[in-house]
Amino acid sequence: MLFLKECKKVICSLTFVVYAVTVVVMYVTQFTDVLDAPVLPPRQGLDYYGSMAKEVPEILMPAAAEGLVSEYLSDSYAAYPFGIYRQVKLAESDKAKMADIIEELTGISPEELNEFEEYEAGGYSQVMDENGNPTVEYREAVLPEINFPTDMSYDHFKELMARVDKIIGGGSKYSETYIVENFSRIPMTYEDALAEYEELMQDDSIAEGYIRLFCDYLGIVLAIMPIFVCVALWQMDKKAQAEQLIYSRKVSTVKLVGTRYLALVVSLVLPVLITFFHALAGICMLYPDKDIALGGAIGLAALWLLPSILIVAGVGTLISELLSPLFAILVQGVWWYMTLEMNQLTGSITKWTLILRHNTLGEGWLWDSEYGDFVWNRTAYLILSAAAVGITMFVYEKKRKGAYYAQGTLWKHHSRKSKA
Amino acid sequence: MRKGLYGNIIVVNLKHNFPAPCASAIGIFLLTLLLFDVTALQAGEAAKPIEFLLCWVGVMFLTPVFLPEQNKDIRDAICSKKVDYLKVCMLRVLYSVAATAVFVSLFVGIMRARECDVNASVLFGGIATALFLGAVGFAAAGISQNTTIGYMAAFAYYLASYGMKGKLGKFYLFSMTAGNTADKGWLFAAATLLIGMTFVIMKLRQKL
Repeated sequence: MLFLKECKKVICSLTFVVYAVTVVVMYVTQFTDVLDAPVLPPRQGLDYYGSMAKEVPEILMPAAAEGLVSEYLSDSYAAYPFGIYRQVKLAESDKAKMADIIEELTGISPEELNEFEEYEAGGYSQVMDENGNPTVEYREAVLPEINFPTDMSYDHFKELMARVDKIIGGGSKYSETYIVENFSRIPMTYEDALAEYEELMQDDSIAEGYIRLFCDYLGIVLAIMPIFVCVALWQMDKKAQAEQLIYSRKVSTVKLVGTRYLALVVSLVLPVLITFFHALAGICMLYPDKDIALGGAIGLAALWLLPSILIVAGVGTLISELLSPLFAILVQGVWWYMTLEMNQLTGSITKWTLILRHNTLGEGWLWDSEYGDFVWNRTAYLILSAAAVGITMFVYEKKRKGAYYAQGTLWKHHSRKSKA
Repeated sequence: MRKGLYGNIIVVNLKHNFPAPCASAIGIFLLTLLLFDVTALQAGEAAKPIEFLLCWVGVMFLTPVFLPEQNKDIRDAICSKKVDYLKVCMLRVLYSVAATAVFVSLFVGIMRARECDVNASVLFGGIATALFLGAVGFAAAGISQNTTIGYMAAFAYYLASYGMKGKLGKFYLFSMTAGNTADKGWLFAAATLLIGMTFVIMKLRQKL
């Protein structure tokens, strides 16, 4: 049977072994620590219980104004148009418009702003501790004195922020989507922390919290490592110089490409399934008294991780067939890097982010607010992967008919016309 | 003037086997410039584009060194020639290392021109990081005789640096971003060792 033959080809390959080892190592080194002990309720009397995003205009407005001044002075604006990070540099005319808005928000004139030379960026940065281990340190930004007008209405402020976002080109920190998460974080009280704990401890959400974290880590690996297994599989025919032989076989292109793709995906899912059921067993043992909703956990993991595998395998298959396997690795590598490096640990799920992050057991409120984008994102990638496989079938069929013959790549394509 | 045998080998390899890795490296170089605003950056921040993205130029150059002979039939045919196959690979490694150093130097030069806080130790650290990651890919590709495995190993190491951080000790890729330039000598030494070890293993394999 073709499917089993293809599965055997994938599973017996060295790339699959390395892939499986990477998945297991990621799971063991990053996730299994949380299975050591159950989550305990927060203790009363602590100084800090974490923070949460909540739309509080009195906090949001001055913080956003400060953020805007900082980005203006650094001449660089972070933005996520279409969910992909980019640093935006404004043209002189846009800078002037931005300076006018800042003047309205802070009372700092464009001249004062442009002449301010003491600026230093703030935020978290990685430094070495006394033992030489990397650690994270927070530093306040050095900015000119900001006097936020007390009489500014929240509606007018939102109008200004919409203009700011438009000047940057959309998807900025000041957009409706991101502004609360970026500029309106409040410290959690004991009651907030207790409410979060109790929400996590509910029968139907306890596994969800853990599986979110599981998917957060595994999603990073699954957004890159399947490409190598995929590329190696599609290279096998070329390596064995069996391409022409396979092209001439009776089996239909839909069956051939479809079966190979399915075998690839099923094989790639296997190591994930093993780690997933180990995690699930660990959660059940941590909370033996809880009636854990296993169905919901399985559904969440499938919806989160399966589209990642499908899209990486789909895009890898398409580019390998259309251009070259190494180009597929390069494209996937760049895509992976861009989404990984520019993502926040939590709170940056957008409609197009390939790697979804929610790097905490808690913050269910944040997850709930992002759930719509999460479902949209995963559905979009399911559809896109189906489209990629469909296009691959089309290209493969053309190749079988000789349209793109020559080393199997589009670049060297020439049609052979027979006089007969 | 005659170029000599090894000169000819270098010219032929530069013509046929260098353009694709070079194009990929140019892509990485331009992407780094595009994604990071390399203007007036302080030391730690200035190291970030180099350690997090530019280091992949080393992988682009060093990992595909064995690619032209990945097919066993071609490799057998090449190995039957008078010139030792591994010497040809060594020449490829030499120009790949040189090209990696040129790309990193060029990038650091651009950063310096844009008033970033970069110096000779950042330049050396950048070259060492790129060579080390490239050497990981090179060693994996050479030992497994599969270039895809080479790229995979480089990505796996990069992922390990992301996730395990301090646990990698002196072989942590992003140490300059965290303010430590002292460990880059270890990366450079490890890169040299990995490349040398790969040639020894391949030589032993040839004799068997």
